[in-house]
Amino acid sequence: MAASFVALAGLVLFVLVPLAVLVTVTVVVARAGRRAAASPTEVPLRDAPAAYRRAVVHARTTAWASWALLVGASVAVGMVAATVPGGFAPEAFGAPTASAGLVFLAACAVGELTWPTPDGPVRRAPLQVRTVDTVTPRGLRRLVWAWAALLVVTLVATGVTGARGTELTLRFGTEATSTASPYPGWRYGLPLMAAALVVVAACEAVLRLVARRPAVADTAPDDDRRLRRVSARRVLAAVQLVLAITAATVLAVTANATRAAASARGGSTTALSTQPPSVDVVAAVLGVVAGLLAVAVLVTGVVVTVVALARAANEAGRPVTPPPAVAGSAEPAGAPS
Amino acid sequence: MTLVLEVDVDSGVPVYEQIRGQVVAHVAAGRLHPGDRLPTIRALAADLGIAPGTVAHAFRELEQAGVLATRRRTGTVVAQGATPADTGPRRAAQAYVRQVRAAGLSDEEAVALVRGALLGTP
Repeated sequence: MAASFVALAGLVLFVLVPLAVLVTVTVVVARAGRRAAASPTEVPLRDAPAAYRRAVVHARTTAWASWALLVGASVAVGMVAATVPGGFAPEAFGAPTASAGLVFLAACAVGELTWPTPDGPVRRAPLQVRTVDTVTPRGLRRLVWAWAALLVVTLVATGVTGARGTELTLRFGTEATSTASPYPGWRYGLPLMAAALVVVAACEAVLRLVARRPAVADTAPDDDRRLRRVSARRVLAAVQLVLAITAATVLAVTANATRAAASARGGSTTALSTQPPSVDVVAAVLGVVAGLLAVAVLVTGVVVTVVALARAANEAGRPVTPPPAVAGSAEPAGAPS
Repeated sequence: MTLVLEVDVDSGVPVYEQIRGQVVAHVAAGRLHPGDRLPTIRALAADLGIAPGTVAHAFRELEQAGVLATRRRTGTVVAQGATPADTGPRRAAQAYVRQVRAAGLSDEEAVALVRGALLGTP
């Protein structure tokens, strides 16, 4: 009850506080990124073709709207949890992850589907195959899958070791037991796993939209590709943050329950007999490891988000190269015999 | 360097014909090699802001001409039989383009010169 509320309030705080840092750093770096052209062939963003500038504004608007909705969804879920007597049921614990992730990704998808289409008389298209792999920062994409894998592995481990779906029971010898809760057993774990997998699948779908959206008119292929990477980086930054916060929360709850069960042999222990000390020692060590891992995951997730959004803002503000002259754009030749 | 297709939707030349001609030109110039993959019809149509059927029309003609081949797994690729023009004529064409650029001629004027030479030479 109270613990579930604390967990949700912590989730909201974990989102709001990092977001304040993100906004500050992103604005600072975005301003720094509007630098002068680096070479004679480049022009600064303010002198870039109108279509490119329109695309940059569209991408930026999409990013701000998506983040606003992500925070809004997190706060709304937190408020709902606060008003529900006893907080969320364990089966609803996937709601914060799913709502934050899916609302964000839905906004991103709308942004990609409404991407400006070429409208001038002269249109250009790169003659190269474009896939999700070619427009996505590989490290960030792997990190998303790594957080999802960590979450699933943790939840499977806690599901297997949990009792009655929400508790951890340590057995000392044949008679003594120590129980602690909340513990992410199957009742918490299955909805959370489902939420995480749905978010990862939706993320891959949005990345596909980024790869497939129309090329920016009147723009060199390299600049168009860079703008796609900016969009993909922003999508992955948020998704990995949502998954990192979820994984960190699960690890923190696991750590608390494990430490509490290990140290409660005199409290909630139902019987005492000749007890080998190894069980509580192992549990205590595992609890500390899980706690440290939770902090590491959370810090890594926030730092990666800040760096990724700063890089995206910097890349979006970079000077652009005017589109190249097209070979073979004259009157068409005949087909070879 | 990334190869680019450029079409002018206001041109008197049909768009599918512009696409077909530019793919042929890239192959003849040796910039596209046999086995090179091309974007999907849908991707090219989205990038150019035109109907997929227009790109499909161009690709169909290129397949019939033996320039492109469609495979189930790899998609549309440059056909094995599509070879660039011989080295000598290709170099001569490149030298010719340099000369017309230096002379300030437009692409249309340069092509008109070649057509005139082709008409006047048996």
